[in-house]
Amino acid sequence: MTSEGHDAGEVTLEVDRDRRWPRQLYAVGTEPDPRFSLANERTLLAWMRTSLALLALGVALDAFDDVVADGFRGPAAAGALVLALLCAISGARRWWVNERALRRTEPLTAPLSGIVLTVSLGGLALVLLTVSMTGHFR
Amino acid sequence: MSSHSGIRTHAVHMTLDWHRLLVLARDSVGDVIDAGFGPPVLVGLLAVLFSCSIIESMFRRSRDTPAAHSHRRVDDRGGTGTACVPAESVPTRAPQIGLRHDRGAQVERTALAWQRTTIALVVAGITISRLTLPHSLWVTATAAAVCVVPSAALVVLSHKRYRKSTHALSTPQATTAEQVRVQPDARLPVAAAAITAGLCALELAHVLLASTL
Repeated sequence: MTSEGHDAGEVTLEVDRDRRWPRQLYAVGTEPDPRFSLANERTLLAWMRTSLALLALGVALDAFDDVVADGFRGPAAAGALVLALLCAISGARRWWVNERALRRTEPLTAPLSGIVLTVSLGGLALVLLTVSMTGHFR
Repeated sequence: MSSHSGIRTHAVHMTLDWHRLLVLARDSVGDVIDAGFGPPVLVGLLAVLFSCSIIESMFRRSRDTPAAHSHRRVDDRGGTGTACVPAESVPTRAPQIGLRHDRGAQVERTALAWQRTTIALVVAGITISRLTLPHSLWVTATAAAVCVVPSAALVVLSHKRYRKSTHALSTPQATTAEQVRVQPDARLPVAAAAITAGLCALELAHVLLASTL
């Protein structure tokens, strides 16, 4: 008797029911290839890291008063932090929607939040660059 | 805690002065950092955290060795194991879903992504608590708490999740339903997103309140 047979026996003895939380996600559709679920999870984690990096940027902008002029410091930091918050929320939302789409074998969602993030980051970088340049050469 | 009043009522005595406590904590943390003990303390904390995880995984591996070994042998033979699998379980060895010993290291890559995220959370917490130290004790204390407690929990829970995924995807099971039942669910991803969003909201509130005051 190998350990596999033992494991299989144990599994069948337990209550044969899907207990995964939340039910409104795991109750729909069919079970996808676990590789896709794991990739979806890694994407969520990448969004979390992006959010944390933006958070660090916002904190640094707020704390170091010699980077940008005083009038722009608060708004720039707030902009980075709003972006960080949006990243965290939209990352979680996208994880949920994509997992549901995988279970229903529907197409995945369009990467709208990625485009929004790219454009906003570009705008923020432009503003910061302008402000810090004018501050230095004034 | 305080020695400025000689007579006090019982109620006053029982009330904790949280602000005073935080000032005390900040000063002692500042003293430790000024004395050059900050980095060693931090490295020690991280070392303790990760050695716990490593020791735990070593114990787990020694217990799992026979099963893992037999999976690998079966996998090397193209899923038609004859030597170490009972004959009646051979037809169920090709599940409709499943990775057969984590081909492409999907589970391991996910575990590493969890580790990177935990480290990023620790870094963000440390950055916030260090940079808001002169401005707001509440933000400092909350960020430090977020840095320590949920990060430690994430190290442990993501490791459990890794083991759970590995087990679910490498153990031959009779039906798809049984394999599904032992896979990890949405709790940890949702918790990680909530922690990150909470930290962002905390710092945003700090910045907005500081600029309006």
